[in-house]
Amino acid sequence: MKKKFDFRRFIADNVVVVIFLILTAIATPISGLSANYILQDIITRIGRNSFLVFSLLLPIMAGMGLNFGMVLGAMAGEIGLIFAVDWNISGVWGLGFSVLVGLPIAIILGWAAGAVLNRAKGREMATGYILGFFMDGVYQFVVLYLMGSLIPMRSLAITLSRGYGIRNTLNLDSVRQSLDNMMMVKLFGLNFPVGTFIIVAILCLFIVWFRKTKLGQDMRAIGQDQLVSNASGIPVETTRIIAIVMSTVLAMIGQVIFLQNMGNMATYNAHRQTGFFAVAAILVGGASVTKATIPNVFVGVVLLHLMYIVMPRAGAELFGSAQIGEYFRDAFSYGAIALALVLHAWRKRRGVEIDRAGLRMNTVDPAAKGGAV
Amino acid sequence: MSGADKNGANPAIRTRRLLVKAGLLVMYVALTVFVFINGRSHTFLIDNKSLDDGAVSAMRRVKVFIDNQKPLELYARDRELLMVRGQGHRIRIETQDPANRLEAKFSVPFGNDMILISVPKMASGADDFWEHFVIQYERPTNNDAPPPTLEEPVPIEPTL
Amino acid sequence: MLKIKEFAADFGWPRIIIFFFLITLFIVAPFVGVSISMSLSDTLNRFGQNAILVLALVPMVQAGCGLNFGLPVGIIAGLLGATIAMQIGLTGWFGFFGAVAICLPIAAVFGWLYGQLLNKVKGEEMTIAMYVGFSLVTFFSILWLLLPYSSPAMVWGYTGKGLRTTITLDNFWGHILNNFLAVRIGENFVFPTGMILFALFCAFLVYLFFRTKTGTAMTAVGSNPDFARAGGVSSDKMRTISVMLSTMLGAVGILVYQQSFGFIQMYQAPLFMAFPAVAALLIGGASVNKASMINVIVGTFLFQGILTMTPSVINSVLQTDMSEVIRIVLSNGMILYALTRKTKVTK
Repeated sequence: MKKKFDFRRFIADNVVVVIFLILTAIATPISGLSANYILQDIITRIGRNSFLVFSLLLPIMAGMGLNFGMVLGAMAGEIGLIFAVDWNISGVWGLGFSVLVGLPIAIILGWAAGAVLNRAKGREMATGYILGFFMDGVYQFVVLYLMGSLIPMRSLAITLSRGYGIRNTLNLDSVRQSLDNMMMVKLFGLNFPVGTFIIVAILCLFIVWFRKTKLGQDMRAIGQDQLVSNASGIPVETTRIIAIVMSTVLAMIGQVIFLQNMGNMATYNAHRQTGFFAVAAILVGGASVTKATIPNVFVGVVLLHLMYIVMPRAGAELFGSAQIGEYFRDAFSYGAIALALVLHAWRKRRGVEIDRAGLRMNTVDPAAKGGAV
Repeated sequence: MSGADKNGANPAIRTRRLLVKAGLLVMYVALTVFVFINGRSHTFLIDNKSLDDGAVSAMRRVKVFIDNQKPLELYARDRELLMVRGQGHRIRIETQDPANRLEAKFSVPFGNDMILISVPKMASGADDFWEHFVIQYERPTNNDAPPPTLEEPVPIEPTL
Repeated sequence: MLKIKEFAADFGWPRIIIFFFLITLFIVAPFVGVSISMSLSDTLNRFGQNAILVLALVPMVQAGCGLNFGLPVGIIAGLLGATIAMQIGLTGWFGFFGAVAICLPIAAVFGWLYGQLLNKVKGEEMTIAMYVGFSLVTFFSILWLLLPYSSPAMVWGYTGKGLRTTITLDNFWGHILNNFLAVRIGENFVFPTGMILFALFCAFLVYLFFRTKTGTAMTAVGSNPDFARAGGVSSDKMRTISVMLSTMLGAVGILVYQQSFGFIQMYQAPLFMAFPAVAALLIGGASVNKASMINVIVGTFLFQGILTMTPSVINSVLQTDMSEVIRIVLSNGMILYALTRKTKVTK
């Protein structure tokens, strides 16, 4: 009896994961892709995308919801990469240089983002989303107008022919796959970018350790209950900002890892969908707006990307058009995010109602209509 | 609370915090400079040509080892291209032709991207066997289209 | 002096800055070779084009549902109306009003469903609205490819199946409102009387609505839920009505936009259409839970004015095309400002 109940609870708690699993399970055989191809692609994508998704963990822990503002960190990473390519710094050194250059930018942007989000309590997610757009404008201003004019650029190969502004696509050959190749292990006919995996593993260890530190505990406390934390002397505002700063820095590093795997960078577009993909991944992995764990990250990356690989092909097979498959995949990703957000908000309200009913000693039915509660 | 001010920390702790922050800043700058210098890539053009003033003549055949890379085999009047990283480099040659010097070390100064090395000159013992090579980049003439606007639909390609 | 300061603080410094910025642009324009009459004409054109879309945001703001980032839901209903009207071959006035007639019930249904959803998630509406909008637009992108449309004006030439990405309204009802009673002054200035009249008419209707019992109840729910509840008003019902109204206005709004623009934009185009509307409303002085007709009219005019003037003027001055960047920074900056404003107790 108890076992059955647990199973149903499990499904109810992880609806989004289950739906995605079922869909992908159906689409995979239809797509006609070989297991080897799919596996190799998944392995590459785990290495490429996990770091970015991890950057969302800390703000969720601190009760700030999904940090759509992580895209600011991605922009910082891109600026770092632009300089690395400009100064011809290659290989893993180039990646390190990008991260080092991007670090102060990410910290400043993260601090600004945190301050803005603090002023928009209760609406952090929408604000973060718009903040991302806003910063995109600032980024375009810097990269398209200032670089090459006010900010000296050495390499003529990466600037536009008019003299200033960076080209639309930046060739990252100098650092291409440098992290991946650092320790590429061939096993069972598949390539494992162990170097990248090790970096991700270090990040996991860092997060586990961080949760136990005072700062980490503070963040978790704020995530649980802001008022109580404030009363116990935790500097709520500053800690929230620190959570966002850390998230932004991680996003910066994650974007550098992402781009080194891609091999070239769409200067003005590379960060457009970063927030969406990371958020979709973590939600599909079973996380919610208030709770996210490390397994959520990996499960989410695998599931989301699995769907991304097979859905267009399945659409092509079924409807004769890969375009439909792509639309389907996107509609489902957006829908999954919407569903996860709705479930979370709905559960939160149910929780509040049930609590209130408890206070009223169950004299009033929480489901009563007519404007009560 | 004796001497307590900001955040309830007394001056001693504040100074220590300041020192730590300053230390981190110094470490950051040092690390950045370190990565920069060691990560910088250069292109080496390795020449086996006779010099114009006839002081040195090209070797018939020479094997050139730069740092730990694979050896390059050069016949007379050959030129090879090699990418290297970092500032200090070591060049070693193996040849049947007469040579005064078989090995040399040199350091690429800041700001140079392309270096031209004359193997015969190095072999003759001269110290200025390498020079900064400036190439005129042809400006790519096709005008790049400005980036797409926010109003345009975001492309659906799986750009993950 | 104190009154001016109070007014400024209330109105918001960013808005004042934008207002003076626009005036400056208009003053500078003739000196850099930009024709004022053409700019004014363009601005009025874009004003009428966007006004109803901005208007569509008002009901939900008043009812306390926040900024309707899910405007694409209404836009999709409008697209359905337009495409069906085209499919059955309606042209001219029949075309336009036929599209309106078709889209309204669809929008009402969509709005009702959407409203039910939003009622379950009070408090987190904005982000959810965004993604519901995105999902619907993408889902309908699939439908645009699969639905049995056959009119040669709409489908791809090669296969004969699936709607084109942009469908021209040239032979149907393109510019029909614009050209109605249009006033032409001189060479460059055309006043799109029909469209402006229609937009003002819709604004007037909404204004009247808010003076009815239902409208007042809606405002009460938005500004003072406890008071509303005490008065026996069901907040859920009011919110649903506001969402339905918003969706229906959005549908009509996109139809007006299309006839002025001359094209129906399908597939991914509606994804981000809510953002300029939100920015315009906020520039006009609205806040996250209070919006009036003046906000709509002033905001749309200011926002579209800036969008029209900045490219021409700044490009002439700086010899470079910065309009895109300015647009992004301005519109999103405005939304950010409104989102981060501490909400004041009702005045």
